[in-house]
Amino acid sequence: MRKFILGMVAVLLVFNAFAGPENNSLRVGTTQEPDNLNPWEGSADTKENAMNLFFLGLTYFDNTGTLLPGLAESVPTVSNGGIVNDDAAGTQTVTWTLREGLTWSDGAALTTDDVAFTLEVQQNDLVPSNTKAFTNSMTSFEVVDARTFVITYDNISLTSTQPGGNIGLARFNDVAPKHVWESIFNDAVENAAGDAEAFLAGFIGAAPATAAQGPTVSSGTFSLEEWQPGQFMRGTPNANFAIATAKLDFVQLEFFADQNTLIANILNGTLDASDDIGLAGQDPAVLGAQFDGAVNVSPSGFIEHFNVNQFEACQDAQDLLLGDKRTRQALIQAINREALHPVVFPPSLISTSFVVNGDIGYLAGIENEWPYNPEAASALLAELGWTDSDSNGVLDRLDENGRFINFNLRHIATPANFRLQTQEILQQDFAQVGINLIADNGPASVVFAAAHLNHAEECSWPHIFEFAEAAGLGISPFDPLAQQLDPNQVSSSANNFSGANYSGVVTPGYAELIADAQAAAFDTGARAAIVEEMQTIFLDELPLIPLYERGEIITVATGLQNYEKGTPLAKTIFWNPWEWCWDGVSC
Amino acid sequence: MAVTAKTPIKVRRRNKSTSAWGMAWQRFRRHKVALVGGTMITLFLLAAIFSPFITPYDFSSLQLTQRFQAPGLENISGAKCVRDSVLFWECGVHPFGTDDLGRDLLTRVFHGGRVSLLVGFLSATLAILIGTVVGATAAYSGGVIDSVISRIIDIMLSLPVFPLLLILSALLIGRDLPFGQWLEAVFGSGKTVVVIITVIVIFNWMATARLVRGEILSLKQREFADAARALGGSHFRIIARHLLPNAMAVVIVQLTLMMGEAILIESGLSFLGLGITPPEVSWGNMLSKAQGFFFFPNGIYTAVFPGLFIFLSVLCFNLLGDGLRDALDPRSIRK
Amino acid sequence: MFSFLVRRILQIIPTLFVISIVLFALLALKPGNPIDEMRLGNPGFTQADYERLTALYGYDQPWYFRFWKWLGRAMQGDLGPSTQYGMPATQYVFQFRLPNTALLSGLSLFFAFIIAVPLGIFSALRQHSFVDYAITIFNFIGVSIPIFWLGILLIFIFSVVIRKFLPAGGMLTPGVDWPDWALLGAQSSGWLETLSLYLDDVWTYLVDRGSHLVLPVFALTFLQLATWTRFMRSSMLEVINMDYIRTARAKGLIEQKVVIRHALRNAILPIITLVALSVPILFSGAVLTETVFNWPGMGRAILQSIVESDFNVAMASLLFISLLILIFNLLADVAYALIDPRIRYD
Repeated sequence: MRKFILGMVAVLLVFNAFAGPENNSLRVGTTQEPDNLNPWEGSADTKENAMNLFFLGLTYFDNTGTLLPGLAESVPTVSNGGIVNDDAAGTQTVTWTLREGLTWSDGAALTTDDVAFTLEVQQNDLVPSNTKAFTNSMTSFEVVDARTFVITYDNISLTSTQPGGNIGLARFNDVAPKHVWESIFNDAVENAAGDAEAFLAGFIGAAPATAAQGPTVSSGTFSLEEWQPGQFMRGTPNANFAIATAKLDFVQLEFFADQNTLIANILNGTLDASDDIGLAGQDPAVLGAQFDGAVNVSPSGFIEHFNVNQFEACQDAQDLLLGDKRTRQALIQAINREALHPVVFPPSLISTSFVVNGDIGYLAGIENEWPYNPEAASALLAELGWTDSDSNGVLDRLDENGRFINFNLRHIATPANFRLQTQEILQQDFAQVGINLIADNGPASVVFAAAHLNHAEECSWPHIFEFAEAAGLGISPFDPLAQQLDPNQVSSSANNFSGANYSGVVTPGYAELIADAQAAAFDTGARAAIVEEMQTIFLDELPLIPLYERGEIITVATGLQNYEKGTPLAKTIFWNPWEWCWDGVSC
Repeated sequence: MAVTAKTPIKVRRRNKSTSAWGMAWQRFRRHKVALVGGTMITLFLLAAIFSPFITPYDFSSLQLTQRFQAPGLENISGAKCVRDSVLFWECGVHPFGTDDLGRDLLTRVFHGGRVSLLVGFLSATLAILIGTVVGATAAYSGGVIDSVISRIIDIMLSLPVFPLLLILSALLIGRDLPFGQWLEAVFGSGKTVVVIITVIVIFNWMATARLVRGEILSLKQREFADAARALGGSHFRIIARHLLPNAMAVVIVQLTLMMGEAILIESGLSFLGLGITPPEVSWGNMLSKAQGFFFFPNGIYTAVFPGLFIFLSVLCFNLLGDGLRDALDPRSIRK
Repeated sequence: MFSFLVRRILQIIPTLFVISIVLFALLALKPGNPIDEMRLGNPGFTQADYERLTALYGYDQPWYFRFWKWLGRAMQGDLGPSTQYGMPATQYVFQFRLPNTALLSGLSLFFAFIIAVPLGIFSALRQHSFVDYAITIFNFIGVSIPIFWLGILLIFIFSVVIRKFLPAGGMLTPGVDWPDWALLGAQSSGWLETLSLYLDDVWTYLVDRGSHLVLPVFALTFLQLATWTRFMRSSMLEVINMDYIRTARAKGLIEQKVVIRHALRNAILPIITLVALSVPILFSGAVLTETVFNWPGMGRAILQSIVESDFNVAMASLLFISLLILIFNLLADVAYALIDPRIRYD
């Protein structure tokens, strides 16, 4: 009886039982729960974090952006002969050797059999993978022995040794356990008989990847011990981990659908750390004032920007003369970006480039270009023929056909809080120079749908479209954001609206520069010079209007060591779970 | 001794009217709480309509240096200038504080009120109107028409309303419905308002229809309907002139209560992100945004005030409706 | 009566069929499908992938084809997999979400009922007294307050102001589980010690679950309570003023007997039907409460599946709710007939 009462009192008083250093464990909070732990299914990239706890890829990036070997013995490079580029034929051959003595957490050997099986599944049409581009560019896959295999691609790529599905084997962490998945996969294929939904049920819904079915066999630092859907995932150290034994006794990834609950639990000490996605939208200074531990900001590698519709076929865009670089120069000078970004997205840096600060070829000092200058903006607009003839505060002009056009700028974005705030601030900024900003928001599923995003030629989004795109992946100018500037990838009716250049922008000189960069792909120095030149042109042409680089907020309890993320290349805060430890306890 | 006919007796007329409406009004006047409710609602409506004149803070003027001010009667330099003049905006006082972009919360709440009250008023009126017409038609026609309409009402009542509200809102989000442009021009916000009014009306006319149908069915049985028919009135006349006015009591009460309902539904949907979407402001979506500001200093006030006003308006409508019910329905219990 | 019952039960099937067509059509006409969800935030997703996957899963087909396929499968009992989670939609809804909502709604219904009935009776018997006015004010507040505002304020108080007393949302603390007897047995000596450890852990578990339930149940109960108390009060008032009560009193029966034996039996009838009709509404309408309190329940699952276009989960949960509504409507009608002998169905 006494124990009851003591127990109850204990629970009520010390609500954060089971916390950190006392039992050498780590409780990490996040707002996004992975749908499943299936390595081929790629519906949500936020799954990357959880997958990295339990699986290890062939390679991984460390905090300084250096590519290190994971399951592989060494990283294949041009200098060590692992990568052989045939410039004439345009093919690339990569030779991989796995480490010696690799095993899965259950003791089964990890060999090229697993790799071959992983590829077989990835290539099956019924598998809902969304990185088939890399797989489809494979022309051959050869198993040399139990530890060595050779892949040949039909293009020369900079990323063919990088994690994140770039190798083309599986979307997450490259190698899946054949002895676990083989029968499930074969059964699913057989039973589905070509029916995609039936296959989905049998393959995605099967153990060992869903919450319903329980633990998985892993190759990573931890093995999944328990997964309560909607609540948490717990992992215990994998004794057969290739790199080093985990220093923690267990790790618990806890899910909070509501950010306030997450923050409350961080502030009251229940959670030891947060991941890199849960605290989006908060202010690190405000949190830091209320938190005992550290609140760190790490670069996310995403640049928030405006795409500007420059298709000649889109009359709405032409009405506002968006194809003329002076209009874009006026727009960027009308925005007070210095004041904007700390308010709407506190962990951010101002950006005036398509390359992330610190990445290859970043033009030093470019972020200071195009400062806020509403007078210059007005002057440019006047030069273009805009006046306020009807004195309603909005600029207008007559076009060649005598049509009366008001400067009503339609701004499309998803209704995320920070984008709404941006719109509201910009409405004021633009009103000062006589531009009427009209917010035209829609849910992500509508706004990012191909029918909307890729059809700017048909005015699906008439003027400006705001979102964040990845840059800073160490492969400039081949980052996704830079691809939006590639004149060869314009998304138009000519290529069935499949290009990455959504705005239809053809920047003078870029076609040649990008071709040069492709030719010099593996020469980092040469690429950097080309990227710098591209930025010089960028400053004048402004094919898109950059706003700021987004940062991520990561909280770390006092005493927790090695829990940090210094580069967007690492892609996840969970890039080094084997190094996490508590000061004085397990370090 | 006896009062002779010659003595003029001063008869003091107490000005009591004896019409049904007059008596109802007197009963209503005695119901103090309902009066309070009615007065407050009128005040809210007036404030909402005339808000641009009452709070000249520009609705969307941002003051990025004044984010998240606490509510109070002192301005940013600490001066209590309310003493000098009631025109608090002249010295930068924010009685309700400011929001995440430095805008005055009082102004925002009033502007949000315009949309929320507009939605409440229009959707309730439309729903009641449709319900009344349908219910009256069903009751009066009888026979096949009545069965069909009753079946439709039954099926619609067995649909899960809230999830359907969600689906329908998600479906119609961003679409241009008729009247959207006109509303936009007149009130400053149109598209999403029309969507949400449509959604609320589609799922809320049934209760009224049932009620009206019941009332008219029972009234049909009564003598005066027979008398009207005997006098040769047309069907429409009978409904409009005789049956409906008697069923009016129920309808008016329903209307008042429905307005409160509609405000709650609208703010609930906006809170979930499916009703009025930003940048249009309504009390519901102010609450939704406020959830991200718990940990900012004074951030909670962006949630306290809109919710408080939702609560007060719905409360007033309910009080008013209760009072009306007691006043208009002679059968209701009132010692 | 019997034929009425049979007729109503048989009507459920075609009604459900009509409802499923309506629901499916609405869901399918809503813009967005799971393939669109896949391309978000994934730079590697190409247009070719998009077209391949859309064709593979048949999202480019008109909704009536898809409905036909879905119906065919549903008749065999298979409601399809969840596109978000992979597991069967029925498993996701009924194993992982329904019990949570049932717990929340069930507790709220229970508490609301046992508080509303006596409060309503008391209020009616003491009409116009101070207590009556207090209860009436409380009722008006409960009926008018938006639950998500109440929830936000409660969460704010317990997550920002008072940080350690009650948890601010969620259903349980990770790691606090129902104890495993065998596991405990292995750790201790003798069954007495195991028993005491076991009971300790059970207590911790109950306290943990309970503390997470306090706020959401309070909010839900408060709202239900207000409506039901008012209803009970007016129902009771109506009955009390009837002639037969006056007769009972004139006969000299003590007040208590009058109340319980005569008045209550008749006054409670409408409340029972109200409760029966509230059950399905609580299940589907708890979306707001579940969102604010971060409760992993069915209401939120419905909202999520609608927003993320997970058709199978949406259909499974919505059909379940519709079935509940139909069944509870029937139950309410039957209860009405049973309690009030004046009502006859044929």
